[in-house]
Amino acid sequence: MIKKLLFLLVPLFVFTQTSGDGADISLEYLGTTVDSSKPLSKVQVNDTIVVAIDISNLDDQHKITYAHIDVEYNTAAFARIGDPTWKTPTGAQNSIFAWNNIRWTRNDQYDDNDLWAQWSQSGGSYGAANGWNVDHWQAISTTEFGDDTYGHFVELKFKVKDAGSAHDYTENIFITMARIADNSGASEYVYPVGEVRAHPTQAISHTPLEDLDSNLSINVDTNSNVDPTKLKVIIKEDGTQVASLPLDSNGDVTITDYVISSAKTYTAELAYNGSGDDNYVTDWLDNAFTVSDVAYLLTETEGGAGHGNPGAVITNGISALHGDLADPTRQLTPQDAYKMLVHVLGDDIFSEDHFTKSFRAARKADFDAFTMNHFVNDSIFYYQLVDTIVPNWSATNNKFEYKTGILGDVNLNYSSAQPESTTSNPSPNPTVTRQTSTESKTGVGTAKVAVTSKIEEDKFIVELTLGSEELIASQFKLIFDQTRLTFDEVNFDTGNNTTNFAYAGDKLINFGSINQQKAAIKKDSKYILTFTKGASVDSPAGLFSIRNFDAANLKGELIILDFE
Amino acid sequence: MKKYLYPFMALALTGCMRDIKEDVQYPIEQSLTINEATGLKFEGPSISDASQFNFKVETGGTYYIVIKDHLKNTISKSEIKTNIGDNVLRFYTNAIPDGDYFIEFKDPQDNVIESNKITIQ
Repeated sequence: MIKKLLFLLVPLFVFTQTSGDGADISLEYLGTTVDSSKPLSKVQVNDTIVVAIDISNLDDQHKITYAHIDVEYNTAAFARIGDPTWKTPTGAQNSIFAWNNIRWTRNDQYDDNDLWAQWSQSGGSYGAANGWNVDHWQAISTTEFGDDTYGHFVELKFKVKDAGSAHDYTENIFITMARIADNSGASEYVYPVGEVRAHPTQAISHTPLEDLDSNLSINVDTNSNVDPTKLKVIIKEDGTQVASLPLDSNGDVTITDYVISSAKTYTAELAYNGSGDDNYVTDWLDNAFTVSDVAYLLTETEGGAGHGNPGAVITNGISALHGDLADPTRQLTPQDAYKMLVHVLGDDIFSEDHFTKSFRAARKADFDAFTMNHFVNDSIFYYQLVDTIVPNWSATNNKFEYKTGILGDVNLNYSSAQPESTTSNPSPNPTVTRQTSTESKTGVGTAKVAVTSKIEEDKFIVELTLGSEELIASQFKLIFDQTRLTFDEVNFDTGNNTTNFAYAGDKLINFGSINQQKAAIKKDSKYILTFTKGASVDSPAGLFSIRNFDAANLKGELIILDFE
Repeated sequence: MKKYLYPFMALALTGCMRDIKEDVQYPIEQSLTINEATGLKFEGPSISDASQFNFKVETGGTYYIVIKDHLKNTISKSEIKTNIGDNVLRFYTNAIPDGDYFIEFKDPQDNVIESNKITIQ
């Protein structure tokens, strides 16, 4: 039984064997001449790599003062260039001699990495072989090798060549033999057979990448309400993911290290990098897709502009795309407005995978050029999360630029801006900007809302009162301290012709109203929210805050609410 | 046997005694002490959930605590009933995002009586 186990272990042992108490010889890749940290896997044709021959003395009874190490390399794949850098002690006699078109035939009676056995025992030999050179690296010193901290014996440089797609790059740089000796005593001590091993690296077997030196990057422009660091780009090579790269605060990411072949197809997919789809909905979608967007679209499809008359109220092509949700048919219809209304009233029209179903991106040039005419005329517009990356490899830099939007964001408070030349009549003519801790919104005016709260026995009551008679829609998002309050209900006092809505999450309540009868919500309308409070709560301070809000006037234009 | 009964009888009698309730006046934390007749004091410039503050007034009654974000937008407003003198209450922060805030105490006529800038952590 034990013998069986030994037989199983022997091949593994041989494969990883060091000399143990002799000398280990190794090839160590040290990067390229222009980038010492460049991994071997990223080395391209025409790079010049630096390779050290290392010696590690594991025999504490002897000093290494002599070494002769042969390294063969394939001349179709590599050209050794420049002068070697010897790391032997000062005063050492260093020498090299090279054979061209020669290759080592390995001694199959011994392990490939048993370097002194390969040479000293019969069975292996050098023979003529086109396309292979052998360099013999030799040094002798009166003092012990090893004054180089890293164990380097000599450093070499190889220019990486394109040997053709059919070439086999396996072991194209290879240590064939080594003789190691100690001459410091009365007589020479030669490290014996089995005690000079190639370990841990006997060969370099790298297939170089194409010589593609263009710097590749992606920029994703977002609205100031959309934090680009919560987005990432997934790079796929021929359909297989090779990278997932978060955007920085400017929306930039470098993809040079991952798009590395002119013969393969690469795609970039924009994905959410925040903590889960729920947070995307809370932080972006529910704030972008609001009751004022519905009111704006209702005005377009049912208001003063008449039914289904695109361009009469909404003049921006991107706005129109964001509202064209029912079919979509490149027409804004009452069905679109109804579908948006359903969503805002609490019936989630996306249901799941909200980011992939509602977040959109287009190439910057296409996005900037897209007008209402393009929308109406059904012009091709790729508004999606995946794009094929096709670099111009002769260019020094390739920057792939995108702009973004969110479906339902008709008044574009969470979408990239277009240049003024495209939006000569920007929709919806914002004149007021309100910055809060969580977002920035622009509207055509302001409206007052009185807010207060108080403790009444075991209840905590929050009351909001609209101070305007111009509003057709309003929406509030209120955060409450869910560790101390339990939400009971919302009471609406908003008039008979108003549709009210409210839905509560764990700590956030979304509520509001919309009048679909082309009339304003009555002035002094009230929203009264009732909570049951914990027995220990004796102060109302800080039990709730208003996170976001939204409103629209009779023209469907966004109104900024001012709480007092 | 009797000697075992005495302790149980004592316990039974004690259990039947009426609870004595006292109105305990706890001293105000030194950090919240206000030497003047009126004022507002938090535990420090940065507060966390359920930190205390002292709102000291000469006229008791209804006041409003208004929380404004660093851009001066009102995000919360609450009504409190106060007594003359010190009014030590808790300030809850679970529903307030971390950041800098202006806290204003107003009377029913919307006059700012006291104000302070705090950081919620």
